[in-house]
Amino acid sequence: MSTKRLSFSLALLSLLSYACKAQSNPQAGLQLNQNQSQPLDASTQSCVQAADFCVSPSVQGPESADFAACSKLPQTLQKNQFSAFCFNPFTGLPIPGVTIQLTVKAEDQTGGHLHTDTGRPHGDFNPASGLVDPTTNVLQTVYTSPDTAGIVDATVSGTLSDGVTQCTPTIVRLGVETHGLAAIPFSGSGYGTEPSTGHDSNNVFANPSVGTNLQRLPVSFDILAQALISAGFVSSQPIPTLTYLSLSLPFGGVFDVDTNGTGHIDSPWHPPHCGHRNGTQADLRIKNVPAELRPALVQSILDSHFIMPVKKENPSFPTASHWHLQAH
Amino acid sequence: MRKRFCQLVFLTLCSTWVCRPASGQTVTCPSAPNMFKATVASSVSFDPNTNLFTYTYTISSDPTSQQEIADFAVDFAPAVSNVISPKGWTNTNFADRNTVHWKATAAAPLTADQPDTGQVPPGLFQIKPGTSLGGFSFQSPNPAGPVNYYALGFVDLATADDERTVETIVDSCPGSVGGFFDLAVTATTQGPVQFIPVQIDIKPGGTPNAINPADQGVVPVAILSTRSFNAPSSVDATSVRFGPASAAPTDGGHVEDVNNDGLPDLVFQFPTPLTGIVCGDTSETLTGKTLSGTSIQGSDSVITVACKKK
Repeated sequence: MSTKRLSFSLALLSLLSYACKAQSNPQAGLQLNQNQSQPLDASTQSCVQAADFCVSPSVQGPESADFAACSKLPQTLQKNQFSAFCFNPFTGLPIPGVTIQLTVKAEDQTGGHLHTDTGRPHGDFNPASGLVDPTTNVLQTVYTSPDTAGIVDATVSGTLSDGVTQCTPTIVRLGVETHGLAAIPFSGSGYGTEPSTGHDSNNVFANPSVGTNLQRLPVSFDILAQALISAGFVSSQPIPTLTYLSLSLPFGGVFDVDTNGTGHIDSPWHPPHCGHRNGTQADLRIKNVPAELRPALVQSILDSHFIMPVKKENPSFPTASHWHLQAH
Repeated sequence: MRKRFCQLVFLTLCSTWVCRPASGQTVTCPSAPNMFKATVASSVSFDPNTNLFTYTYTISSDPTSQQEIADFAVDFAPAVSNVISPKGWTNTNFADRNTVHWKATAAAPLTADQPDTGQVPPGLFQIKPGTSLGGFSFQSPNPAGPVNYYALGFVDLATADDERTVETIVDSCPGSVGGFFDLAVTATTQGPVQFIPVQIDIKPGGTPNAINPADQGVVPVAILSTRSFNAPSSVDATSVRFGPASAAPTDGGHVEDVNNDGLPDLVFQFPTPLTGIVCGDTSETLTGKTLSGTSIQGSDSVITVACKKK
C-alpha cells in the first residue's frame, strides 16, 4: 500500500468515526402538536415560505410594547403548541430527564424585509426552557407569533440529566405568514408604485379583490378627469399618474418603513404602520394630483369600494403626503 | 308619464365626534356626511319606439341642511344606458354593483394663497341648502319599481399628522370615515327593477300553509294590497302564474280583504296538480304583471303534507 493510499484510508476512517459519533449523540427536536384542544393555526402543509411550520402573524403580539400606539387594534394572539425534546437517534424515542432550552431569532431578509434588523419581533415560546415531562419525556410549550411576517429560527437544545451531555441542537424554521396576498403589477394603466425603504418592491401585495380595485381606480379616475377637461371645468393638462406608496408585504404582518426621511430603517425596530398587514390598505400619493381633480379621485375611490380616505400630512417630510385607503 | 315624490331623508345630526382609542390617543373624527335633509323626486317615461324607460331625478335640499349635497346614487336592475349628469357632475358605476353614482366633481383649483395640504375642494355645483338640482337621468329597458337611492353631504377629508393617527382615525371613526353605503343617507325612489315585489298569502287565513302535492283540488293564493300597491286595480289577472310549473289560475280572481287590514286583496285559485309543487318544498312563488306591464313577484312559505318519509 502506498503512503498516499494509506493516508487516504486513515482520513476516510477518521471521517466515518466522526460521523458515527455525531449520529450517536442525542438530537434535539421540535414537533407541532396535532391534537391540540384549541383549533390549530400552525400548519406543516401550506407554508409559502421555505419553513418547517407556518403560523399566522399575531396582532399585538409579544413585542407589542414596541408599538403601543397601535393598541387600538384588537389583540389577536396566534398561539400554537409544540413539543420539544431530545431523542435517541438509534431508537427515535425521547430521552427522559432532559432540560430543554428554546431560543428564537427573526431571520433577516425574510418576509419581504430586505434589511438587517436585530430588533425585528420574533414571537416567543412559553415556557422557553424546562425539564421534560416525566411521563412523556417532552416539554410542552406554546409559541406566540410576532406581528411581523417572515422566518423565525427556533433553536432547540437540551442537556441530559447528567448535566454534561448536550443534545445536538436543532434549528427549526417557523414561517410567520398571511396567506393569499398577491402582488399588483408595479405599474399599470394610470398608476405606478414606489418601493419602500428596506423592502424594495415587496410592498405591493394585496388581497386579490383589493388589488383588482386598486388597478380599476386609476382607470376610472382617468375617465372622470378626461370628462372634466372635455367639459371645460378643468384646464387641459396631462392626467396625473397615481402612485401607490405602500400596500402590504408578501406575507402580510406589520412592516417598518423609513418614516423620518433618514433613508434607512431605524434600530431598534419600530413600525410606522399599524395596519397594512392584511392586504386591504394602500397609501396613495396626493401631491401630484391637482386639487381640482381630487373630487373625481374621491369618486373613483368610493366606486372602487374603499372607504373615505384620510389625508396624511407631514410638513417635515412633504413628499410623504398621501391619502390612506382602506378597502371596505 | 308618472311622477312620484319620494319621501324625505332626515338625518340624525351629529357634530364632530371625538374618540379616545384604547391607546389613549385622542383623535378628532370629521363630521359625518349626513347632516342634511333632502327629498328626491323621480319621473319615469316610456318610449315605445325604443322600448326604453327614461328615469330622471331632482334632489331638493332643505333650507335647514348643514351640508351641501355632493354625491347621489341610485340602484338599478341591469342594465342602464345614456346616463346624464347635471352640469359640473360626473357619473360612474360602482365596481361589482348595480348602482349609478353621480358626484359634483367640477372644482376650482387652489389659489396662490391656499396651501396644498392634500385637501379636497368642494364641488362648484354641489346642492346648497334650500336649493334643488335636476338633470340626473338614465335609460333602462326595465320598468319602474322601488329602488334605493343614496346621498352624501360634502365634508373635507379627515387629517392626521402621522401614519399611526391616520390608522387610528380609520379605526375610530366609522360614522364619518367609512364606505359610501355606510355613510350615505338612503331611502327609496323609483328606478329600474326586474319585478315589483308583492306580498302574497298562500291559503289565506291560517298558518302553516299546508299543501298536499297529490291533492286534486285548488290552492288559493291572495295578492295583498298595501298602501302603495292596490292589487285589484294594478294586477293583470291574465298574467298571474303560481308554483314551479307556473300554473294559471282557474278563475279570473276575486276581491276580498283576506287579512282584515281594510285594503282589498286579489285572490286566485290554482289547480294543485298543475302547480308543480312537490314534497319537501318550503316556499312557493307567484309571478305576474301589472296592467302597465311591470313584472311582479312574491313568495310565501309552505309545508308539504301526506308525503312519504324517506
